[in-house]
Amino acid sequence: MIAATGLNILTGFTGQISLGHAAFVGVGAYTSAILITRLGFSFWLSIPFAGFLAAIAGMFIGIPSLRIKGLYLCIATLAAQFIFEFIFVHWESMTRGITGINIPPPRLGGIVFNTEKEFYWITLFFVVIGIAYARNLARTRMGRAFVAIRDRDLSAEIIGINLLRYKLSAFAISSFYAGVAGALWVSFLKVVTPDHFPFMLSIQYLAMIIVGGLGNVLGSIFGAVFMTLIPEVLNYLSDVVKAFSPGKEEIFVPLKEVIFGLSIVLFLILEPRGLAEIWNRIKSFFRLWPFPTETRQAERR
Amino acid sequence: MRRFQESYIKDEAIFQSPFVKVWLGAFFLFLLLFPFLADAYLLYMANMVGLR
Repeated sequence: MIAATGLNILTGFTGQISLGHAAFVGVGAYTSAILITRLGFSFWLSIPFAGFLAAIAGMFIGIPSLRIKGLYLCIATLAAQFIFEFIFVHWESMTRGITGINIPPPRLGGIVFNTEKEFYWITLFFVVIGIAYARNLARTRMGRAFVAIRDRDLSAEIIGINLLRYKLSAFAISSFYAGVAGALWVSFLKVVTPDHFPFMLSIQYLAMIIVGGLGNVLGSIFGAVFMTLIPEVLNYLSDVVKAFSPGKEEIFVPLKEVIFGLSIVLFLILEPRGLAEIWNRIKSFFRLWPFPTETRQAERR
Repeated sequence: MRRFQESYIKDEAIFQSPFVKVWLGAFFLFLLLFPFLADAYLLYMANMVGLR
């Protein structure tokens, strides 16, 4: 949810498509891991550093966004993804390459956050802060500027929005979220390797916000839940099939990829505003019952 | 029931109606109780969802 919310600020609110989000998660993850293991930082202190370094990396990658737009920006961020992946693997003196870095569990006073149950509180804390900030950001001057840039950046510039400042801010905030998510993730897994941040993860983040709902904070929540649980549901289904007719469960392995791709395509065609819009429709159905909902009426017209 | 705001204070309110307040409260209560009800697998998934 944290990283998906970050990408939603950049792609959903500001309209700058990024295919390099996993790289910024990786920058945060490695920053935190290196600070904890080499410089003896505490877990808590490493989180803001991870966020800020990822934000700097994001701003650097965001500089071309002033000149290049749409698909071309897509390719520029894609390049960033592969450059950072290359650095993670080959800068062995710093990142230890493919062997990775092991990280001790976080501590607070005498409490060690070692198990899933204990780490849940850390996750909950950062998720609540992240979602609350993003939700409020949309209502501020900056949030309005982001939306104006998304809708038409030339018009936005004419009404006095400094494109350089706001586009780079969007990249910075988005990457900050990614960096914090990465730092938390490595402390949860207790190990970091370059394999954790493949190009496929960037696609997954993009899929999350498309399925959940672009430009909607609630959308990143739904998207993250949906994309994380779908493989688990399919695993469960394959177990059920295995119990009834052994051998047939093999079709579920390739089916995972198919359902993943199909869900993105179907959401783009049938519900471009994502799961969040379905949720809103359910809410207005109950609010307006027994009258037909507003959206339905709008569709008829 | 009135479905529109009559003042800027109401418009800026985080809890737009008592209904929202109750459900959001219930949801946060669920989030706080969740680790005591769920097993390790569910907690792992919850962490993964949160950190994604």
